[in-house]
Amino acid sequence: MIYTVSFWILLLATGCNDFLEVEVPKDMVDQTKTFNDDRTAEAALHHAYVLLTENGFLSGNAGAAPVLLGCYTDELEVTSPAFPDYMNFYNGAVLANNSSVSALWNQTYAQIYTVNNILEGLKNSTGITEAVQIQLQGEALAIRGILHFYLAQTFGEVPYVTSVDYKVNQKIGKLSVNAVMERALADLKDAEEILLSSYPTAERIRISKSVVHGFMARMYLYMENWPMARQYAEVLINNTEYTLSPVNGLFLKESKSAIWQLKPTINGMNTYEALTYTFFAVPAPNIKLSTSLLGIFETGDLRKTNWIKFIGLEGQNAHNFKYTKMGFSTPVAEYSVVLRIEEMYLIAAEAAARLQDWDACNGYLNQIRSRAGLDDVDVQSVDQAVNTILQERRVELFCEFGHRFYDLKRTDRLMDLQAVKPNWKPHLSVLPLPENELLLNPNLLPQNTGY
Amino acid sequence: MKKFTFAALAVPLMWVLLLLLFFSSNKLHAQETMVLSGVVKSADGSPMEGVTVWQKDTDNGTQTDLLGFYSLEVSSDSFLIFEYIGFKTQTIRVTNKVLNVTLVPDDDTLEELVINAGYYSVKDKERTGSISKITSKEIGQQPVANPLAAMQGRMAGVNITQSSGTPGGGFDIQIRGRNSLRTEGNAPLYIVDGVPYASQSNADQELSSGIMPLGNVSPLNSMNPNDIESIEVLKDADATAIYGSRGSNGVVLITTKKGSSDRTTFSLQSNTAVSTVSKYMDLMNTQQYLQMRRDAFVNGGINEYPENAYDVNGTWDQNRYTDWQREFIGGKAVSQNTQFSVGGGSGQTSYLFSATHRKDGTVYPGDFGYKRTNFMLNVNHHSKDRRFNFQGSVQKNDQNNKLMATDLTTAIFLPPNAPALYDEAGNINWENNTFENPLAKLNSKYLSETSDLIAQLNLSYEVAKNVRFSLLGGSTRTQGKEIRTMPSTIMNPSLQYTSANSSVNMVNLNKESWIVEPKINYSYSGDRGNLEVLLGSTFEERSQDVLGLSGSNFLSNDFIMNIQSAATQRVTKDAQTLYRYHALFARLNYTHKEKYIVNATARRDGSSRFGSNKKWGNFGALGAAWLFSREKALEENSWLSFGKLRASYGIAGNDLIGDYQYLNTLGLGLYTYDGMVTLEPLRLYNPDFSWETNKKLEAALELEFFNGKLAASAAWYRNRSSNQLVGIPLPGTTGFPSVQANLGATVENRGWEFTFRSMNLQKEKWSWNTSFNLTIPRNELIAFPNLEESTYANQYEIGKPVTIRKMYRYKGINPETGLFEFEDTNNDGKIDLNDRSVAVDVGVRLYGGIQNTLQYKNWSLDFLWQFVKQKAFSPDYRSNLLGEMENKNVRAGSYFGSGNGISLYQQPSLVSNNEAYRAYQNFANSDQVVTDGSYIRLKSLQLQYAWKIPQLAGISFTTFLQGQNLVTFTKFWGSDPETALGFLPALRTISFGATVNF
Repeated sequence: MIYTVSFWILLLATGCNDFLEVEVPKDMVDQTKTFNDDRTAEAALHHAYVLLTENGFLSGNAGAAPVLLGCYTDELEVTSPAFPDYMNFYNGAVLANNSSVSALWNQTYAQIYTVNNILEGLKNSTGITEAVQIQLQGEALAIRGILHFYLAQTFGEVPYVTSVDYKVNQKIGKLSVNAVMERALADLKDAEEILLSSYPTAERIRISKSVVHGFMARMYLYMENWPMARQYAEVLINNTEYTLSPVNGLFLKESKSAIWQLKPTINGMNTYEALTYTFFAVPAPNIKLSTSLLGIFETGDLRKTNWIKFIGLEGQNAHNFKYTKMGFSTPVAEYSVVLRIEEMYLIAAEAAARLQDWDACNGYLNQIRSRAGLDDVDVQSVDQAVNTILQERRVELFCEFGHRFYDLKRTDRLMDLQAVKPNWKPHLSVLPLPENELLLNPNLLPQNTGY
Repeated sequence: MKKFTFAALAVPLMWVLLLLLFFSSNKLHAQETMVLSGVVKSADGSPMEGVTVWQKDTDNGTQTDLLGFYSLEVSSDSFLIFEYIGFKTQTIRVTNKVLNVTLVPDDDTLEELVINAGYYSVKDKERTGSISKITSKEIGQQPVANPLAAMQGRMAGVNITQSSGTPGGGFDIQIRGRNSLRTEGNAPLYIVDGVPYASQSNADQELSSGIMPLGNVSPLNSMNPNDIESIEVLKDADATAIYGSRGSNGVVLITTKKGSSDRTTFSLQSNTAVSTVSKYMDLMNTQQYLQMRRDAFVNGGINEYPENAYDVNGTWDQNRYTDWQREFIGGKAVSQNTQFSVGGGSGQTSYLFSATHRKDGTVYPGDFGYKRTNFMLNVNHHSKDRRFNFQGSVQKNDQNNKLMATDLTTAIFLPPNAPALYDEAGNINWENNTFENPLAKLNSKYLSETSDLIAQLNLSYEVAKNVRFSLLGGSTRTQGKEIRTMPSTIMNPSLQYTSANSSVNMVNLNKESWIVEPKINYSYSGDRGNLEVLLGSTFEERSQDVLGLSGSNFLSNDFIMNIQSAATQRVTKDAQTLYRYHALFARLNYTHKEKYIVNATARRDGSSRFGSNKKWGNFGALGAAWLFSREKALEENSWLSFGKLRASYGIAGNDLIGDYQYLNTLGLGLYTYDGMVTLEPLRLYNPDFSWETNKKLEAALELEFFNGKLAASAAWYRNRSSNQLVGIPLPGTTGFPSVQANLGATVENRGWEFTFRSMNLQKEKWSWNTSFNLTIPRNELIAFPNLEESTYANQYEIGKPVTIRKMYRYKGINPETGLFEFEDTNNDGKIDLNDRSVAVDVGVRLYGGIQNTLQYKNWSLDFLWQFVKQKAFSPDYRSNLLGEMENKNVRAGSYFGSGNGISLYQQPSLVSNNEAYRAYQNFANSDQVVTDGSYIRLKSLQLQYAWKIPQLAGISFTTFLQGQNLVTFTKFWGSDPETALGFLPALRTISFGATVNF
């Protein structure tokens, strides 16, 4: 028996420390390893695209920014209190503790963290193919720029986050809207420099140099740098890869007008947009297209007949029908189109108008109109042009990524919403900074005016 | 090298000790022998058969015969031990050749009460630590499914709350307050017959959180309370430091029932219980509700009701009235529990087998419920010479819970004139697409099956005189399967969803653990005192495998349980975790003259949950006790029969943070992009975190009077938990909500615990006992470096409890606007976060229980009142704007402009009214929604009758009537002050049952 005891005592003294070493489990991979391999590094970037598809500014999901901004402005009417935040956005009753606002903020910065982490990992990586490394860096930089652009347009003054160090990011301060735009532009320029004009894969679901050009055109437009906006828009218009598509096939995954699409993240499934907007019986269960939007289409506009579906008899209830395939199909028919050539025509037209180049302006505008079955217009003054183009943008880009809100905002016309929303107030031009965020980082104070 | 110091010291010490003992023990045998004989009788003079008689410290023994006679050859000048179950063991020095003995029944007084302290046992009177105990007597026939429920209100310093009345739900247990800033970091260590039992919920939060608050399912649900012999809760440093890094939040030791070697006993017990919601809220009726709604439109200046205001615009019948509480949670939940056990043995071996089946219904409409089957086998054996002991047990517990995926309690605030749930044809009524029928949600199910296997073995051998070596081995295995279905039928038919839109989520869980604990115990009794030394070691491993599957786009809803029939199948999770733990521990106990006791414990342990240079930690404690009643001056005292002062100080730790948190890794994402798997960042990288430590100090006084007829104790404790291991909340700009790190904050829990016990009446036919416990806990954040600049600045305040919430100060209703008003603390003209100046404590201020046991002839009555003084959130905390389509408590009818007395609420409004909406939101975050949540509750009442039927000698038959949560006195105006808002409250249960033993 004494031997048994001594055996155990010996056991006590040895091997204890090795026992406590556990390996990395099978569902995780070391950060350094990830970025030393082409495929795993690419998988890390793919996650950024997943996040973009699932939530935030570029997602078609119920509860993401595009549908909320649709309720916020005059595109959508909310028919049921089932989603309280649809109602709150619809009523302009967005408070600093609104959960959708903080979700939008947190999800966007989580997306930014994901790309910053990729940039961090790629910086020190060894063993990765150089071409892949550069491609991934370009995409990550572009995403970072695009997201900050949206943040500044939506929240006003926001921090520009380029680090993964939480000690830095938890105390980061705000930059002016202009400063954010400049830095976003700088990131896009860096991306422009290193990205190839071709897409990394056969489909248009990743960021190429053209995607960067498209966003730069839009950003210059918002910054009222008309020559640059026009220049970048025309680069794409003149690129034969992209052609104006007939209205009825525009959102199909093969569409030639798409510059950047997000591919649904569940195999076999079509877009979230279709699930978010479609309904089959009246009253509409959540949201429907607003009466004011339905009334603004010119007679014979193919976009009204193709992109809007009326339910019931009275002609009152209609839903966005840009995406017609709902749920699963084999093969998948539609991808969510984030950026498309039609917007470039409208940007070029607007920039040309501001530069008083009426031929160009009318030319671009009428190409858009004629494919929608409408007669040509002939604009000859800036006011007339801007009005016509805003109307054209409204019917072309409705329910797409908050275009309506940003267009009204940049042309200083948000107060026009009072016609349909008597409660609309000037301070609603930016969303409140999330209350919790201000608690956790006082450097973000003060809160946006009016909240 | 540092890591080996403890072992390096321990090994040579042990060898020296062992050798010394080995040689000393040889002296034993060189003595003369003699034949001793005598008769053993009981107190009433009748001879006792089967009494074990043996010479102390030897294998030399016998049993008495029919006439109580024994004879035995013993060495002279030795001690003889007389043992019989149910009687006090006597040890008598041999002086004559004849030794007659009278055994007295063991009336379970404190003297013989032995407390299990985990690695060792100690007589209650001689313990130096703070340990509370309840036994199967208190657990009794309470119709509860979870052992924690049976403990509620019965232990000082142990606060247990039930978070939902749904069967299979969760309990929250806090032993001496919140030590950790993290909720999940406050769980105690559970140990069942020596084998650690994971304190984490087995449920997948994503699947279960709709029906279980926070997805919390108590792991102890699997245990049958009736299989438990005793539950000990270790509280202070003296008792918990030997559990090292896992003892910080206290230790709950569960000991299962053992068989007796006396005779074979069959036992059959069965009871049936009916549970109902004990209190409904007083909600508005149709007139009151519609008036409120109409006023909201009037106040909003809207003359024409909008299309979707179905309740007021005439779409719905305005004369209908339904109390939705009665529709959705008004059912009767019937429970049945049947247990069979057989136990017995002979001489050296005993066993107990028990099988139990339990079935719980729910108060919800529909076919839901919970089932559990338990098997347990316990075997004990000792060698004839008692040097070798064996104890082994196997438990198998199967649970099956079938519930809806979302607690229907959330639907009770439907407008009272909402349409009927079913149409005339008996189908779910959508009222022409204007009514989101909550019953449709019942089609979404949550199913959970759990199967546990616990096997445990404890061997011990007395290797030399006074030296006992023992080895504990244990293994557990838990297999769980959870399914949540989302069929298309839960959705409004206007969406025209088909089975192509149906989906199902499934999680399979496989948990395994093993533990090996060798230990060696040395005890020495000398003239001056007793010494006990314990050395031991722990090796433990826990592994977990999780496989999550999801399917969508089904062929038909009939196939929804079969993922194979889903067109889209995904693996949502395929993960494993491994946790390893290793420790060395020691205890040294010295008792001097049976009066002065010192107890020192130490543990060095390492955990795989920390980075490579932070794995190891040292813990220890010192406890002392002075039994002053044994001092000469007091020994003869007629009224003071026992008095003890004890104190302890030491450190225990906490490693409840989950595995792998120190790694810088990416994990597999849930979704794919371009058909490929993605890798997502899992957390912010910080490898440098370590144990949370808890320094515990305690002093206590224990007294007994009049031969134990009255007993009282008072304990004061102060625990300081520092090096807080928390997910420090971070702003969203960091990309994550938090980072795992040690925070320099110190949380102090201090308080007083009082217990009192009295035997009020002890007559031949009558007896009446009362026991009482009271805890006055205080929690305080005593240090927090740079709190003002930290992310916690608006959450905590130094000098205040960690349970505070910062809220607006409510001022009243503005007579001009008719809206709520709040104090603008910083006078900047607006109400925002910076005005949340009132720190409201929602923690518990006082709790306890008072229990009475009365016996008259064959009747016994036992009842327990539980009382809690606390603040709680009123239902207003989670309510929508008054005036919108949601029913409210009747008290909300006293709104501004209603003409119903003093206005308690602002005028009804619609969310389109920005100011009103904002004021109401601020109201929900003001001190006004924190109300008195104190309550006094008749927690348990039991009336029992033991039938004595002369013809059926040898059979005992008992019937009992039991009630749980029978009466509650409270000022709280919500449904139940104990359970979480928005979930089913704790139920009132009445049960009837019987037990037969033969």
